Amino acid sequence: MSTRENMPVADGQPSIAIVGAGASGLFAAQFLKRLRQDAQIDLIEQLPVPLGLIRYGVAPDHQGTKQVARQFERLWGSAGISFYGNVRIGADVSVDELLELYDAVVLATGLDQSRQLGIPGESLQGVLDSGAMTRWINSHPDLDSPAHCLGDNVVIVGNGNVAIDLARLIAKTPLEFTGSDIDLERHRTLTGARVRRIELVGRGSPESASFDPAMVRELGTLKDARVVVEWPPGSPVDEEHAQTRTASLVDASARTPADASTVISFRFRMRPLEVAGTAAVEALVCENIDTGAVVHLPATSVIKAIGFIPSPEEPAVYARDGSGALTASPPRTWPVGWFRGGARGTLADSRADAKRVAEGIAGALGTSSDRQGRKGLDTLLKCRGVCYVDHAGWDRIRTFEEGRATADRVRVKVATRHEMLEVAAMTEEGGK
Amino acid sequence: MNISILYGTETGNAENVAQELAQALAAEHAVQVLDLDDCELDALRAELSLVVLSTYGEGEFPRNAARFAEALDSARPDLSGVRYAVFGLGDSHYVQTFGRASERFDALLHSLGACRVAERHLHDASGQGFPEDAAQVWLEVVLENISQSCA
Repeated sequence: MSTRENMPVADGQPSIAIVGAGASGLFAAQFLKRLRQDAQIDLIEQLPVPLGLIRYGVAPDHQGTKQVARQFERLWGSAGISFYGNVRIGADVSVDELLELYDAVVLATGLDQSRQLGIPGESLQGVLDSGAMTRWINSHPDLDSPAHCLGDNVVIVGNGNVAIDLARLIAKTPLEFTGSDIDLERHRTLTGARVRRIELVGRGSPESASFDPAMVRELGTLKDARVVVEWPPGSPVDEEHAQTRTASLVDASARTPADASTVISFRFRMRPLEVAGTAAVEALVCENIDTGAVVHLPATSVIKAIGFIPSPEEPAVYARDGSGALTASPPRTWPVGWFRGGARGTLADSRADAKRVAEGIAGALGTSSDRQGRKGLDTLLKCRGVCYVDHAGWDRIRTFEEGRATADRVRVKVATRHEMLEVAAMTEEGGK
Repeated sequence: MNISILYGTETGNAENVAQELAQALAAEHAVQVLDLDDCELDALRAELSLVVLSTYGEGEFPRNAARFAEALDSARPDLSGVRYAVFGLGDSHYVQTFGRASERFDALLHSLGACRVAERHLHDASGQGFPEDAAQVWLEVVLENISQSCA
């Protein structure tokens, strides 16, 4: 099989399976490769392509941040590391089976269910998850059209970086995406002619909001959007980061053009009470936490950007505390990143966690093993007719996407599983 | 020559640059790559110190470099005789903080009397090319300058 170039390895080597080839899994592989050059390390990913949120979460106009992907390209060169893309945990192979085959199983699957508001009206048409929005705008293959133009008034619930990302992406004009890898068709589907109003609604005060000041300051550079801040009366500015957050809001609102077509407004200290509407959303009803005043924010769409939680189908062997952090997982499994700690933290935090976990595994792993490792996985996948994408296949997809780059796009992503598999030269082999 | 390559990183890019610089130097020099968090101030005592530094958040030092930078700033040792050069990584997308940490670190070493062998290079993640390649070009300048400067 032409795409199956994962190198066979000597028997008796210790072996590590990493489930999930997003940032945490890749960083773990990178550290493990350094710490245990004697081990086989296999990354198993449900998508045909690696990179997870680096590819599908980091905004398409933040290519500098996506540059971190480059350091993982050098992972694949060595015989010790293999990529198994398009292999679904559960359907194609189970964690229990991996535990039979491998000495250690790293769980790096992240968290991708958007947290819900838990208020009436949440199922109305036009109420959207930030995760679905982000995946759509990053050309994730497992989504169809959101079949929804956002309309004139978008209310985004949340004051984190995901909320700010979405506000910026919605408010940008096509020309402002030069140098990105966004598919403008998708942008147009979302924004139609132009979104007029974007409200960012959060419970916190400006100082306690979870956005990075640089993200807000970036809003101040938009060509056709104006930033407005509804300052809560007497908002205290005393914590260490308070001044920079407040300053970034002042800065952004001072710099944006007054005659812009889109207004981005920040509303702090607001508790959502209800999504109002008959069939489709018409307004988000909020209560001002300080005054108790009830505010109706007209909305053609409401986007929930209040974090990510585990899937409700997560097996009971994984116990979690109230914050979403894992408190128990099966022996010889090594949870890492968002899957372990809950959906918080940046790439740097995931890297730090991956380093810690890799050091733990490196210490726990013996020098030899009687488990089958990669050989066993290959046999099992072959028996089940699972056709995986190896690193050479991913390399072909990546090269193909970069080859389609234009003057104003750094790459044009392959946006369906089918085409990914085709480009990785797999379709003639059928699979399931 | 005895060369220390000190790195401060958030997501690993600066560390990779440090590793590649070490590879390029290994044939002719005694090189050590050091995580700034594992360094005491005497790490700057090598015949040449190369510092590879990214920038974080509001222009802050990367998490593994903050302690070293603060220690240096508060101890303010006399660094005359120390020869160094700084390679910065940043993202011009963030105009106001672009490369700020490497800029500050460079200025700090200079203010303590250390000899700047070559101008700081600032690689832009939103620009063209790869930082490892830019670092090789910068390294050539560093090595060329070192024979002539800082007598």
